[in-house]
Amino acid sequence: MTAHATRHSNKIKTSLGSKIFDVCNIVILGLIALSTIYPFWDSLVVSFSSLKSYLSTNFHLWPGEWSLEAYAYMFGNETLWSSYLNSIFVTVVGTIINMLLTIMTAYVLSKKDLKGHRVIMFGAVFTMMFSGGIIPLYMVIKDLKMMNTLWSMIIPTAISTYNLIVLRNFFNALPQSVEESAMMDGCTEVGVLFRIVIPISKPAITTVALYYAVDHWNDFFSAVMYINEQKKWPLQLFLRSMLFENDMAYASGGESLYLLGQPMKMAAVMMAIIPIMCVYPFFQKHFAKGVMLGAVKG
Amino acid sequence: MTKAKRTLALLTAMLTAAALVSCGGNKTGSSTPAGTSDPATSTGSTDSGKVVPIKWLTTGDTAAEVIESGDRIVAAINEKLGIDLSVTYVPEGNTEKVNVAMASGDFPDIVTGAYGTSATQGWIDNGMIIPLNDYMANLPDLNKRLSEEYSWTAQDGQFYGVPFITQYSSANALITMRQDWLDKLNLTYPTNLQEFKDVMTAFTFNDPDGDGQNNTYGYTDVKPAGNFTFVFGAYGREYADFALNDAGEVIPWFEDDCFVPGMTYIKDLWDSGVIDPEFMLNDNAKKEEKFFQGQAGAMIGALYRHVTRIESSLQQLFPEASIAYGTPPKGEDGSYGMNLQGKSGMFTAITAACENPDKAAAFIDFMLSEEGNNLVRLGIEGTHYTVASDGSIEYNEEERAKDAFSPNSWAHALAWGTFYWPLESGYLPENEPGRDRALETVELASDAQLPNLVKQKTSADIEYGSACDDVYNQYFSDILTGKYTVEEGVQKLSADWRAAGGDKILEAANEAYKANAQE
Repeated sequence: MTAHATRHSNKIKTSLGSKIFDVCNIVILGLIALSTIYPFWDSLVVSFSSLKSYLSTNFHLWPGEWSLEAYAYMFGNETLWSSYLNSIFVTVVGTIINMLLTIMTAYVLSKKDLKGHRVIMFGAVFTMMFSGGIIPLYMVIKDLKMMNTLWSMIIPTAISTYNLIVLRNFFNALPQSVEESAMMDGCTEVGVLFRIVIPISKPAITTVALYYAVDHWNDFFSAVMYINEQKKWPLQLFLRSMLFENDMAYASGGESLYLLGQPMKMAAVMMAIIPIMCVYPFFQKHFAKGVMLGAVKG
Repeated sequence: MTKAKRTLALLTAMLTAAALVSCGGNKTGSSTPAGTSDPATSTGSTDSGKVVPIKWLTTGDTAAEVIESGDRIVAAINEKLGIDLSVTYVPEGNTEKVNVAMASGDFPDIVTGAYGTSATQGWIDNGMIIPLNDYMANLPDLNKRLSEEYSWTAQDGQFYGVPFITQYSSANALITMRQDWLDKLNLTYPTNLQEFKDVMTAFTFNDPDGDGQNNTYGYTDVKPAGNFTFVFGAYGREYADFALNDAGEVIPWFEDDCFVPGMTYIKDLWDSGVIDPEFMLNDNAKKEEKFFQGQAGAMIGALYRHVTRIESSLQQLFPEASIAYGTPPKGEDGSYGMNLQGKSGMFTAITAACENPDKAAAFIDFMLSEEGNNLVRLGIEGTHYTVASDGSIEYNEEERAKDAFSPNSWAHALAWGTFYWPLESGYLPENEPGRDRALETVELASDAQLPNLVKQKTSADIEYGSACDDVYNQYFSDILTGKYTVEEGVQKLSADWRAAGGDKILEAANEAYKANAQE
C-alpha cells in the first residue's frame, strides 16, 4: 500500500460519518448489553432491599433502604446448607463421571477402524429420538435401589448423547498424525487419550464439562421424581419448594412463603445462580472457542 | 503411561470416597427417612396387639415442617391405632410423581393424589385402589365424610377414596379497598353496583392519595376467567360452573341472562378509565403490589389469614392506611355473589397392595375425627398445649418446636393438605394476630359463594377446560377493548368456546347433571 493510499484510508476511517456510525453502534449495543444485565441487577438490588424500599419504585437501580433480612432468613435455614452440599456433590461428582465416561466413549467411537462403531453410535443416537419415558426410568431406578439417593441424579444421565456427539466429532477432527507419532514413540491407546488427545482438546472438553455442570446444578426434576427425604434435596428443589406459589394452599390459608415478598424471592434466586455463575470465568477462555467446535463435522 | 494410570486411579479413588461418605441413601443405616416413626415408640393397642406398617405417599402441605424420627404426634397415632406409620411427602406437592409411582407399581398402603384427574380415575379403572364401602360402617367419621359430605363422588355406589375439595363450602376472597381513601373522599364501602362505580370513579379522578397527580386507578385484578364474578353475581348469576336454560339443560355460564348486562357494566367501567389497563398482565403478586403501591384503590383480596399481611404490606408505604372489605355489591334485585365453589382438590385412597386395609381405613378415619384433628392441630394436652381455667388454649412453643409443628402455634405437618386446609376447617390458633377479622372475612366470603351446578369435574373439563378458559379470556379482552360489541362477542364466544372443546364439556356436564338429578 502506498503512503497516499494509507492516508486516504485513514481519512475514510476517521470521517464524521464513520465517527457517528461508531458512536451510534456503541450506544445501541451498549444499551442492548445494559438491557440484558438489568434483570440480573434488578434481582440483586431487590434482594438487598427492604419490602418498603422495593414497593416504593418499579425500577430498582440501588436499594433505597438496605436490608439483609432476606439473606438472614435464608442463611438461618439448615436445610439450605444441606441442599447446597447436595448440589455441590451432584455437580462435582456428576460432572467427573460424565466427563470420564463421555470422553472415553467418544474417543473410542471416533476410531474409524473400530468394528461396529456405527451400530454403537446408532444405539446412542436412537435414545435421543426415542426415549423410554419417565415410568420405565422410574422402575429402573427403583430396581437398582437408587431411589432416595443422590446417585439417582447422576447415574441415569451419566452420558448425554448430544455431548457425546460433540466430543466424538471433535476427536474425529484431530490430525491422525499426532496420535500416530505418539504411538510410534511407544504410547498406548490410553496414553494417547490422556497425554495427547485430552490436553489438545481443552476447548471442547471444557465446554462439555460446563454443559454438564450447569445441567446438574439446575436439575430439580429428577430430585422431585426420585428423592423424598428433604435432607437429600438439591438446592434448586429446596428453593423451588420454598418459593412454590401453591395458589391452592395460599388461598386456603396454608403455610406459604408467598407472603415473604419479592426481596425474599430474589434472595433465593441470587443464591441459586451466583455459585454456578462463578464457574464461568474459569472456563471463559475455552468456552467461546469450544461451543463452535465439533459441531460442524458429522 | 504412569501419569495416565495415576490420573485414572485418582479419579476412581475420588468417586469411591464420595460414594462412601456422601449419599449412600438408606444403605448407610444411619438415617431414618423423614416421616418414619420410631418403632420403639410404637407400643400398639389394637385388638390383635400386632403393630402393622402403614406407608402413606402424599403431597401433603409443601410448607410444613419435616417430620423427624421420634415425632410424638406420629408416635401417638401409632399407639392409638397399632400401626407403624411412615409418611413420604412428595416434593413440591407434585402429583405427577405420585402418578408415576403408582403407574410403576411402587404402591404405598395409602396414596394421596389430585382429585378428579385422569390419573386417579385410572387407579379406579385398573383396580389399583380398593372401595372403602366395607369399612365405612364401623368408621363413623369416614362414613360421614363420604356418605354425607361427598356422596356424589361415589361411582356405581362405590367410594374409592376420600376427596377433599378446596373451597368447597367456604371462601375467603372479598373486594378489598383502601379505607383511608374512602374516608378522605367521604365515601363508604359500596353496597351496590352504582355505588361501586362511584367509588371507583372517585378513586381514579379525585386524587385519593393527595399527591396532586392523576396517577391512581380504582380497581385492579388478574386475568378474567373466574374474576369480575361479583358483577355477574349482582346480575343474578346462580352457579359457579354452568347455567341452566329454560329446557333444563346445562349451558355455559356466559350464556346466562346475567352475562350481557354484567359485561356491559364492566365495559362501562373500562371505558370510564377506572380499571387498571394492565390488569390482564397481572398475576396475584403483581396485583397485590399495585394495591400496596397505591396505584389502585381496590382489588380482590384473598383474605382470611392474609388480612393482617395485606394491611401491614400496605402500611409499608402508607403508615396511616387501612383496608375495608364487605359483602360484594348487590344488583337491583338484591342479588350478589362472587366466590366460585371449588372442584379441585385431593383424593386419598387405599391401594390394592395394602396388606392391612382395615388399619389403613382406621387411620384415615382417625385423621377425619375430632380427636385426630385436635391431635394434629393442638398436639398432646399437657405437652404441646394446656387448657386454662377460662377454657382458652395456652400453647407451649418450646415443646411444639421439638415435633413437626409450624411456628407461632400453628399445626403439625400432618394437619393440612390432605384432608383439610385451615380455611375449610375454620381453624386459626387462638393467638393468631387479627383472628377475629380473619374469621369475619371467611363468613362474608362464604356467604357470597356460588355453588356448582355439576359437582363433579368431568374428564372433558380436565381435557378441554384450559383451552376453553383461554377462549373466554380472549373474548373478554376483545369485548372490553371494543373489538366486538357485547352481543357480538358473546355469540362468537359461544361458537369458539364450543369448538375448542366446550361442546364435549357440555355433553359430559349434561350427563353428570342428569345422573345427579336422578340420584
